[in-house]
Amino acid sequence: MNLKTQGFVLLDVDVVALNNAGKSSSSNFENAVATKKITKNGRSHTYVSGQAWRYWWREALQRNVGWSLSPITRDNKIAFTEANPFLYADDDVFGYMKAVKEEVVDEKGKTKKVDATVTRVSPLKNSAIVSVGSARTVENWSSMARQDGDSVPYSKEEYSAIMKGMFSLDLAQLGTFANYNKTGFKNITQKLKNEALEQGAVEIDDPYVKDGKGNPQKLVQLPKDIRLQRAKDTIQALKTISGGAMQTNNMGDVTPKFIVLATTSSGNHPFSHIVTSEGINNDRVTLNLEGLKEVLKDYKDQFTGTVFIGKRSGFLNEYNDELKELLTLGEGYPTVHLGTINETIDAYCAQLENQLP
Amino acid sequence: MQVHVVDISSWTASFRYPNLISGVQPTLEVPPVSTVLGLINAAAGQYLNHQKLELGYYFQFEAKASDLETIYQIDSSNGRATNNAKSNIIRREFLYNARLKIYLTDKTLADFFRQPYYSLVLGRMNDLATVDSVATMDLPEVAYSSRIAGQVVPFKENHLAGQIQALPKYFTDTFPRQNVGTEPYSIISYLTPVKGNLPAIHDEQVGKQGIDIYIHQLDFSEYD
Repeated sequence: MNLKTQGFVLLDVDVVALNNAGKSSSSNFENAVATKKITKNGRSHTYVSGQAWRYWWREALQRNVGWSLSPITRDNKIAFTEANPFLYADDDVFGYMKAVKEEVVDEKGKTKKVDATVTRVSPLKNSAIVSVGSARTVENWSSMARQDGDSVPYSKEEYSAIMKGMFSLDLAQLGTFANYNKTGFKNITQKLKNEALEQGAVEIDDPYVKDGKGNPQKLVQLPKDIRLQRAKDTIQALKTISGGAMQTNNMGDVTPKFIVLATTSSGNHPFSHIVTSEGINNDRVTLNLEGLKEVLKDYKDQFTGTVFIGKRSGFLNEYNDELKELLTLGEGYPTVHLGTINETIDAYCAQLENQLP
Repeated sequence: MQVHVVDISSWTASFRYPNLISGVQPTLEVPPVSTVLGLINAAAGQYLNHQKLELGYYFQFEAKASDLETIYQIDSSNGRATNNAKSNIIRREFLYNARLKIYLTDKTLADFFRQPYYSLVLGRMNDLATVDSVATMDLPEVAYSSRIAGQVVPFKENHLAGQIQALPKYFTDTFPRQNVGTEPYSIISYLTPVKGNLPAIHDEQVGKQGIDIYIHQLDFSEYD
């Protein structure tokens, strides 16, 4: 089954500078750092690039979930990970590219080097994290001062905002690898494939790609328990994810304060519009629960199982009653589960156990 | 003319210039034809071998911003990547709150978007997109377009204003992949509509004054 985990999160951060954009060009200070922002109609929306969120995510998986990350070989001009998704779960989930030559023995018994370049498109796709409404940034004066000598003044740009992010985890692609030579398809080398098959991986038919004789190409798939564990770990990591620039002075909690988790049989990410902004400066955040209901109804056939919604108490409390209404939508809607953030993540992971083929 | 219209939106989008390798990476203000065909493949879940197809599209966004990111510049020898890579920090432009409307005459292609196989992205991995609707419409044809915007139009014979850029129509599924049918296009941002004087279909629901959509007649039979 072509299943995806679709996730949507809201973060609530105060006085942070989560992702910086280098030297500020608008400051009077010589040492001034700007934060990343988008200017729209004269108002700014602060954001964290998708790349930075992935970095936090990978770190959380290592520090808090116990993943041993694929080692990075980095010489003067070389940088690549092991590209061994059987051994390293982060290679599997986050994708890679590695150009290598592999030694093989040909029919005549001679060893020769063949090209064994591998690439893997990341099964985990995530958006940037963008402030929902406009966020006014302030330039804050700081100084590096010690007892001796002159202090060194610098400035940084800080903001408080409710920020939105979304992600999609391809459960069909997770732990499943192709080794035929097509762009973006060749995930593993023949050698790695043989090793994996010896260690309990199985071959399954590729539903779409056929060889020259019209037979389906084979994919190598890890056992269910490993795939399930990797999917659960990836989602569980959101409970403890941390990161962002200037953590010593501007530590911000970047775990979700509102989360939606659902399994769909479609690559379409349905939750992108469930939060909007209002007010003269577009700085007031509103949950678009009508929009959420619309999504639940429109895509009912594509939701597999329950849709899980979690919220931290104290965050957007004015929506508590309306959210409860989602529990009794009845016919034409999928069932909805409400809970706290961590409870919701656990409940979704429990559902995954019955869903992954 | 009866067309099947797919409405897609995303928070961020970026379409890199094909011929810039290092330094600042600007974004095109309209995706190339190959990007839209790639999106159809992602929705279909497989590489589609088109012979002929008719395709129109319209792209708009709310703001343009610049991101700072780490990239790995990988050397190649004989067209193949090597492991020689060095990291660098670049500025990359991206578009915020983007919207893509695809107009197709082939219903099967449009139907793929009702339940896309892979996650759709408008540009790169982080540009996750949502299909907002798939609808069938009857749009009037105009012989001489008066408002063309948010699209690319082949430069040959049409000579429309806009930024001129060589863009591919499609990519092969071979390894390494090859671009197919590259030719110069006028890239006409949604912000600067031009008079086209070429046949188009008119969609009055786009923008304040409506937009004329140029329908690309794509023929890939010669590349088989």
